[in-house]
Amino acid sequence: MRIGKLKVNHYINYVVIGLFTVVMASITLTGGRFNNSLLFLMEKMAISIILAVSLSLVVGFLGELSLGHAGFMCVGAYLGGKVASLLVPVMGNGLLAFVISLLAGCAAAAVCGVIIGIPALRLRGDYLAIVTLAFGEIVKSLFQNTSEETFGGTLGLSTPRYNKYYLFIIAFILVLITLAVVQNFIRSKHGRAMTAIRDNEIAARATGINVTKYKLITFIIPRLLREWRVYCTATATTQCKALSFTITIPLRSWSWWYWAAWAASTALLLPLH
Amino acid sequence: MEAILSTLINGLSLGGIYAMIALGYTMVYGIAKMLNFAHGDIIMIGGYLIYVFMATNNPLLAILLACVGCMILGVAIEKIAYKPLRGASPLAVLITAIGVSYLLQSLAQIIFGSASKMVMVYEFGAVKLLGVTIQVSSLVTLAVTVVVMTALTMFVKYTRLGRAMIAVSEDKSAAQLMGINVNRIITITFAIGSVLAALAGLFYLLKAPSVSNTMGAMPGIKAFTAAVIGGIGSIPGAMLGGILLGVVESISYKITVIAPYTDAIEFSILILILLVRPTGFLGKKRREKV
Repeated sequence: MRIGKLKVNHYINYVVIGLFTVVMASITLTGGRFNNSLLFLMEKMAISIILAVSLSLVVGFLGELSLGHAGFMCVGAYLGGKVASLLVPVMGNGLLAFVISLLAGCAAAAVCGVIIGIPALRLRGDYLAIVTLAFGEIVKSLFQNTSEETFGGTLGLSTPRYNKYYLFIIAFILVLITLAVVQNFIRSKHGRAMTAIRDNEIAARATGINVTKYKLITFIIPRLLREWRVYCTATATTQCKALSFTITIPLRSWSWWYWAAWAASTALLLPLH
Repeated sequence: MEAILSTLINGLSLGGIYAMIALGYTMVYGIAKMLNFAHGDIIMIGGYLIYVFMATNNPLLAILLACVGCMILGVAIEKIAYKPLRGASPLAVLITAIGVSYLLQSLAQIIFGSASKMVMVYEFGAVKLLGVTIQVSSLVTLAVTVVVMTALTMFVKYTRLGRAMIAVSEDKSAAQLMGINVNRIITITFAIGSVLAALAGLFYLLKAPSVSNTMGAMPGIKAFTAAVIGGIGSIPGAMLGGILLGVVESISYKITVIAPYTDAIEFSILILILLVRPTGFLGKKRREKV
C-alpha cells in the first residue's frame, strides 16, 4: 500500500504501537490505574511482539531454524535478574537500576550468541536446529543445578520487580526500539545480504557475501533484542504469583520451551513485511 | 569391576530404548524429511494404553493392543496434521509437530489427570551374572532392541517395501515416477515408528513402573539427539547414537560430582560430535548445487 511516496506497510507498525503506547501511557501518567489483568495482558503483548519480531529475523529473513531462543532468553533473564537483585538494594528500585540490569542481560545473551553461534553456524538446517535445541537444554540444566545463593537452583531466581503500573510503558518503548532496529536492519545493505543468503546460500557466497559473518550477526541481534522481552517477562510474571508486597519473581527455566514454540507460531502468523 | 559391569549393562539397555525411539525419528526424517516432535509423546500414549489395557490382566495382550493403538494414532496424526502440509516450509511442519506434541500431552492430562499412574506390567526379577546383580528387564530390553533392529535392517534391505522406502528417501519424485505410492510409504513409515515408540514406552515401564503425561518429552529429545549423533536418516546410526547416549548417561549418573549435569553433558557431546562430523557418524554428506 502506498500513500504518496510513503510505503505504509513499513510505518503502520510504528503508528499503531506508538498510538497505543501514547494513549495508555498518558492515562497512567495522569493518575489512571489499570487493573492487574489488563496490565499483565499489555506486558504480555509487548513481550510477544518483541519475541516474534526478533525471531522472524532469524527464521524469516535468514531462513535458519533456531530452537535455542529459549536458552538465550534463559541466560539473559537470569543474568539480568541477578544484576537487578544486586543493584536494587544499593541504588533503589528505580529506572537506572532497571536499565543497567537490562543492558547486562543483553550483553550476556549476546556473548552467548557469539559463543554458540561461531561453531553452530557451520551446520545447516535441521542440524543447526538440533544444536540450538541442545544449547537450550544445556543452559536449563546448568541453571537448575546452581546453588540457592547464586541463581536459586530449581526454585528459580527471585528478582526485584519494577513499578507494575509503569512497566508496560517501558515494555512498549522497547517494542518500538526493536521494530526500528529490525526494520532498518532488514532494509539496509546487511539485511539485503541476509535475504540473499536465505534465497540461495551458494549464489550469495559467489557474489562475495561473507555468509558466516552475516549469519553470526543475525544470531546476535535477536539475542540483544530478546533480552529486553525476557526481562519484561520476568517482571511481568510476578502478577501471576499475586504476592503484592514481596516483589519476588521465580524465573523458572523449564517454561521457556513453551514460550519459544508459542512465539514461533506467532512469528509465522505475523510476518514482518 | 562389578560396578562398571552393571553400569555398562544399564547403559546398554537405556541405550536400547533410546535407539528404539531414535529409529522412529530417523525413519520419518529419512522418508518424510520432517522432524516429528510428537514422536516422544507417542511413547507416553503407549505407556497410558498399556496402563488402560492392563485391566485385561494379560501383559502380552496389553502390549499388543498398545502397539496397535499407537500405530493407529501415528497414522492418524500423519493423515490429519502432516499430510496437508506436504511441500510447506519446514518451519510450518516443525511448528505443527510441536503443536501435536503439546496436544497429546494436554489430552493425556485431561483424560488421565496430572498425577502419574503406577503400572506393573511384569515382574522379571534379577539374576546374578559374574557376581553382578542384573535386572532381567534390562537384558530383555537389550535383546528385543537387537532383534527389532536386525529385523528392521533386513526389512529395509531385502523386501520390496523396504527398498521402496530407500527409494523414497533418496528421491521422492523419481520414486513416484517408478510407480511407488509415496503416500503409502510415508504412512507405513509412521506406523512402524509409532509401534517402536510404543515398545519404548513399554521398556520405560519395565524400568520405572509409572506413567505421566510428560514422560515422553525428555526421552524424545534425547533420542532425537541420538538420531542426529548417529547421522539422521541412517538406521545403524540410530542404534549407534542411542547406545552411545545411554552408556554416557548411565556412567554420568554414577559419578556424583557430574550427576546433576548429565543432561548438559549429553547435549554437549552432541554439539562436539556435530562440530567434528557435521552430519553425524553415519550420515551421508550431500553436495548442494545452485
